[in-house]
Amino acid sequence: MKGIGAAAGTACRLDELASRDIWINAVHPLAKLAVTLAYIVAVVSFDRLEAAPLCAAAAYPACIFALADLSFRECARRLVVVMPFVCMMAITCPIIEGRDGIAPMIVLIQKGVLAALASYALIATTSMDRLCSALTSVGLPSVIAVEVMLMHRYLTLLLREASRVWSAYSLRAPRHRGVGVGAWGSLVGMMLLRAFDRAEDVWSSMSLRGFDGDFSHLARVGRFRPSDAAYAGAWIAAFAALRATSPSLW
Amino acid sequence: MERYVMHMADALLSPSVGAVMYAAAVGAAAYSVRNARLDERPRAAAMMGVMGAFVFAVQMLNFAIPGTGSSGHLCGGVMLAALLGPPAAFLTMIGVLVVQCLLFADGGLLALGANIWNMAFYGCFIGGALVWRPMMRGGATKGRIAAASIVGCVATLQLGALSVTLETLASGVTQLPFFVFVGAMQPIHLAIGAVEGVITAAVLTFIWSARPELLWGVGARASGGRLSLGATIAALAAAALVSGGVISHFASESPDGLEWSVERTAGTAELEAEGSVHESMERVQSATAILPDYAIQGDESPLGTSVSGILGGLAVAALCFAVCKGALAAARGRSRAA
Repeated sequence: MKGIGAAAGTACRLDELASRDIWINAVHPLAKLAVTLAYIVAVVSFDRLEAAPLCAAAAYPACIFALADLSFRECARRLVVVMPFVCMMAITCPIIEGRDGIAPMIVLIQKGVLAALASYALIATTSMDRLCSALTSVGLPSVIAVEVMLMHRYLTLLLREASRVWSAYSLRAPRHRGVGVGAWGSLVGMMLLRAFDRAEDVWSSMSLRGFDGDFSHLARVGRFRPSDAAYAGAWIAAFAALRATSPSLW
Repeated sequence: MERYVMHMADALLSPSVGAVMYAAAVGAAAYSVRNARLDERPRAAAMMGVMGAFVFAVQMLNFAIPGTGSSGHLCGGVMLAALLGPPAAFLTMIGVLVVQCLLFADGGLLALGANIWNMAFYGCFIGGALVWRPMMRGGATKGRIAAASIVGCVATLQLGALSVTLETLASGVTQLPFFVFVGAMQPIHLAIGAVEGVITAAVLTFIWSARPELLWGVGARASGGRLSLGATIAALAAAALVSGGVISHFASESPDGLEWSVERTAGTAELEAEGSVHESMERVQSATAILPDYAIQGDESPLGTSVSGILGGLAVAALCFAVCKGALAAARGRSRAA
């Protein structure tokens, strides 16, 4: 059950990375989100035989990783989560198509890796609070934004609680691989009841401090500046140019 | 296993399929925001946030499956729907999937709409509204909670797995034949759904015995927005008249799917039948058909199409009414005889 501790560590580590005082973290979240989505769309829209242009597409995550001083090794752990199903699908290509399926297999794996790198680059340079706050300004219902923010805040707490519960259980049942069937209901049920009570306490505390559903003051996003537009425009133009080099469009 | 198979990665979707799934997810989210009755429940946002974090934490726990040596996980859609109601549960699951996508790379950013649809929509709306609520209408018992949890989880995971298959094939990323893909996905998710259903049942049974007021939809009778039989018949009749009398003008002149297939295979959509049986049946059909080719005999005008549409609708309604009446009379006769 090392996963619980690792998940809590990942959430904290990403918060630390996104809170650093570097210029790319200060770029408006909407600009970075638009660039990331444009990049993913450009990458996945390449034909299933175009491996070479996709190699050039690796320039974007490489630039962001260099600018933000991000570690490829830390990001590689995320690929372990996202890649198994992609690899399973990729392996079917040579099985079905023989030698003709090798290029599609490579392209599919390339697409999976590049899209995951771009998502990591986004969240490692943008805090969840700023992203939610920026999305609210373009129409995301505030209830979803507040929910995601609260969830993000309490995630570490509840993950640590789950870790403690598991430690206590495994000390009492040392040879069990997982929670035994007799404890399924009571173990998770007690955690659930505590989560309900905690939600009531959270709401009461927030209400007493004057929370009225508006959290924009918690995450200072600032205005969308011309430099943010230039950042987004330059990257999107670069992706469009890369996409235009694709032989499938000629 | 479910974390790997159900969370779609960006590489498995084409931009167009991703956009369609985003549109579907946004539509369901808009419906949920309107219907979660958040104005009446101001602490709902806090509840959804903490419950989302709880679901995320519980997803990390391994549950030992007796007799197999392996372990399963909880997804949480049906459980959340049974606690918060489908709209609030759907919004909570959106939060879970957004955090999983951004913080833990579980599913891609482009595939977020598809993942919301495959896991949150089916779990909350199909599992919650169509399975849990009807089964709890007469009150909760341990058996009903277990049955609703297992049926809900199995059904929603099957639908989710089928959607993953269809979305991947529609995106054109694999040449895998449909039946091979479905044959691989559905049985895996049948087992995963059954395990999740049993875990969900154990948790909800515990909650029911400890704090039953927390369960949603238990003992709720149908009321309010439900239409009466007369109003339902009137609405259906109006819809039939509009579609038969007005929309029939806009029917496509192009061949339908079967005609198109026949035309591609045989070179013509109108196959000539030979033999005395065919000829005699054709004579009977031309004598009895009062609305040939959806028009009044000898009248090719638009008015003729409208009248034929309305008459056809009425004829079908009368036939259905007569068949139902006949079946009811036969059933009553059998019960009297018994």
